[in-house]
Amino acid sequence: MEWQRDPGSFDEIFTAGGNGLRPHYEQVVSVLGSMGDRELRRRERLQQVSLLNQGITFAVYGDKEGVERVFPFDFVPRVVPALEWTHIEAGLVQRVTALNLFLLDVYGDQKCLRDGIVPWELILTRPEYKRELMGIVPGRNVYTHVVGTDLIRDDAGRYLVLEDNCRCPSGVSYVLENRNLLARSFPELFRSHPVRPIDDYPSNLLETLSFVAPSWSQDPLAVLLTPGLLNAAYFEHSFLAREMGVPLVEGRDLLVEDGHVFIRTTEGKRRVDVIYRRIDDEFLDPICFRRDSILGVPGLMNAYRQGNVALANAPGAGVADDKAVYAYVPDLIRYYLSEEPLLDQVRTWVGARPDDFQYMLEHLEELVVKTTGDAGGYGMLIGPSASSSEISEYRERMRQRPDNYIAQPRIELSTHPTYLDRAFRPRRVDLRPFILFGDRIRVMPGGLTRVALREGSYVVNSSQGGGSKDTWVLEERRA
Amino acid sequence: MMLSRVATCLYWMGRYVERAENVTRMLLVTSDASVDFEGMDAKLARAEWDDLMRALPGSEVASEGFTADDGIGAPCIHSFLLDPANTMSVFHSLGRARENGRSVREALTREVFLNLNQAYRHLDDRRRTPTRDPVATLDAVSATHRTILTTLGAMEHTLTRDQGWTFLKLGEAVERTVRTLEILRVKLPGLRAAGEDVDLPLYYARWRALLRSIASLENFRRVHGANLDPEAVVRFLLFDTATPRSVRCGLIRAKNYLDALPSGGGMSEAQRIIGKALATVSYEDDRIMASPDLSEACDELILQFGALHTALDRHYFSS
Repeated sequence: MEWQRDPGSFDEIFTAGGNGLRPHYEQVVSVLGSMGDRELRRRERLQQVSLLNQGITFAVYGDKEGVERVFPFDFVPRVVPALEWTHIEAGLVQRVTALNLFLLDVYGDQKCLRDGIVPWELILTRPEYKRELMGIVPGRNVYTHVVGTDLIRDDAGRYLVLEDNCRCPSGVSYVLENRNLLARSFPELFRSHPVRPIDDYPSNLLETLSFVAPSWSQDPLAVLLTPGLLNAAYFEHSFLAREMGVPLVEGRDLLVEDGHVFIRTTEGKRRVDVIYRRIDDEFLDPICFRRDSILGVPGLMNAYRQGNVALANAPGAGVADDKAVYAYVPDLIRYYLSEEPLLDQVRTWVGARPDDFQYMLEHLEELVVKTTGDAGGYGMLIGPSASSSEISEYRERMRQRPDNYIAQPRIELSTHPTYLDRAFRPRRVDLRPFILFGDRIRVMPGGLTRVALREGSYVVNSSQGGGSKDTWVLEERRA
Repeated sequence: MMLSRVATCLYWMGRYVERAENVTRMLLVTSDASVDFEGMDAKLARAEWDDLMRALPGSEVASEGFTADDGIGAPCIHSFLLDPANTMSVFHSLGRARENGRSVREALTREVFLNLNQAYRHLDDRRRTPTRDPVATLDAVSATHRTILTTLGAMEHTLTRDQGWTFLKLGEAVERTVRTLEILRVKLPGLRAAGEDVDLPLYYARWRALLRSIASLENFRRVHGANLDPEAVVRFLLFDTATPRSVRCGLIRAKNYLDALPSGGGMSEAQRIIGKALATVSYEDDRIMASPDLSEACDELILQFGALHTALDRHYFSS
């Protein structure tokens, strides 16, 4: 069986240069290497059928035949040794703690603004910053109940935070399903590895939600609020509701009366204490935010303001994962915790800082420039692959509103051998661990490893040819 | 505790899976009967297919594109198995069952959804690769029947016995009884009027086909032996409690499920409707049997099920 290398990047399995194998991958390579190509393809087919039958699919919009596709799964697991994970875990706990303190501050006393840690105008111009939420303290002081932090590794193998997702990070259902799938189709891989289990995530999530319920609730009722069947992440919403044993509700199932939220049941109304909402702030309440929202519940924000219902994640939390705020997170960690950041992040130049802006203008050819506020790569410039006229045009636009831009160097993501077309080929990966913030902060061991299946691609998103892998964190004592 | 929306979806999922099972079985039985009759009495064979269409009201069958070589049942089988535009087709029913299931997946077990999804996907695959070969077509019908039965088994043996289950089974009981009644109202007038002056083997074959189309031939033989007395057959399908598809049995089940649901104090409208219908079938069997045209009695009961549905909707589904 052929294992290909990419000399230009950090490979997760093979050491640089020679044929050296990282020790925590020895067994994986030996087990997979002992199977013939026919056997591997047979098992891959079994996985495919299993995904289709379980309906772990996403609909491809615009396809009039309505064909459902599976989210491609690669069976070569990503293995993270215990020591490496200890470092990641501590770094994530630190980061999420600081982001939550930042949110409490920015909607409260605004000390970090007055002390000049983050510029006023930067925060006040973020669309995710909701002035109407000033002074409202969410239950138990928690804003970010569920966080998905995207990590990448540079060419030296160093873990870097690429992005914090503090609103409705998705993907955790694939993490759990990937584990089941791999355990079914390649049981022999697990025999020789002490893989830390992840199946307690749903009960941990429910505990997290119950923890923030209004204090008078003896037996709090939590529900999961979904935009509905047509949402791309609907499978996950339904999966989590089923695993937690809580009702999956749509906006039309909820109503607000006298500042309390109720669900419509076959036996009349029943009060709701916690809403794990998987819809954006903007759509939560047509009275408070977007008036054209039919997904939301009129009066919901009023009930939230009165402390009669907890929302997870808390409205307004999005300002913490803004691209420009990201640049200040290391400083925020130092400011709130008096600690040095444990996890590095990608070097970021912020247009709002005159020196940074000057540097950006002079080095556009080497930089990836993003507009803040806009999501999804809109208005982005990838310097290394842009033409000189594109660059000079972009430079002019930047001069109009410097504070609207940030810039980062292009990072070479690490690659991971991935079984494609009868060989193990290096493909770029990232990692999204999931962090729960309740009575304490818990990091799920592992997370979603996404892989860019196209050769040379940096794009790991499922909508653009990305797949995923099972991610193993090994137990300390034996790793 | 049960969301009204979830209760509605489960009720309809129960109805659609049951409908799919019934239609599949009717296709198999009608096909067998029409093959049996065709050599002796081609008119009778065609009548079997006409009856099938009448017993599945609201259905549309396009016969364009089929020739006599495909067999007289081919347009019907194709339409009732695979045509998404035919609202009584198995494909349509399984699709609706799956959509309902998909939108309340958190209320189902993995096994139920997996089997339902598989049943739908198998049929969808067939739809995309249609065949004109009659043997392959019938094989597809039997295979579909098996996957539906597996789904029903998963429903029976894996679901939590909570309110959601009760709504699902209520939907199943309602649908099953309505289907039995629809078959009886189409078949009984002709069969009872025929009398014994007709070709005897054909006469009895038609009664047997009736029993089979309600999945009750074996049940009948266990109770009554080989003696196929027409009056006994009618009584069996209407009043017997030993066969799960008799009208009385369906009413008893529906009543039990309704009694298990929260009525909100006192007796619900739905309970009244089903209670009265059950009393009629239980205590007025002789009066019903004495009427010359049983289709009227069937129609009356079908109307009661319509009223039941309205009552359910008012009480549970649109709170």
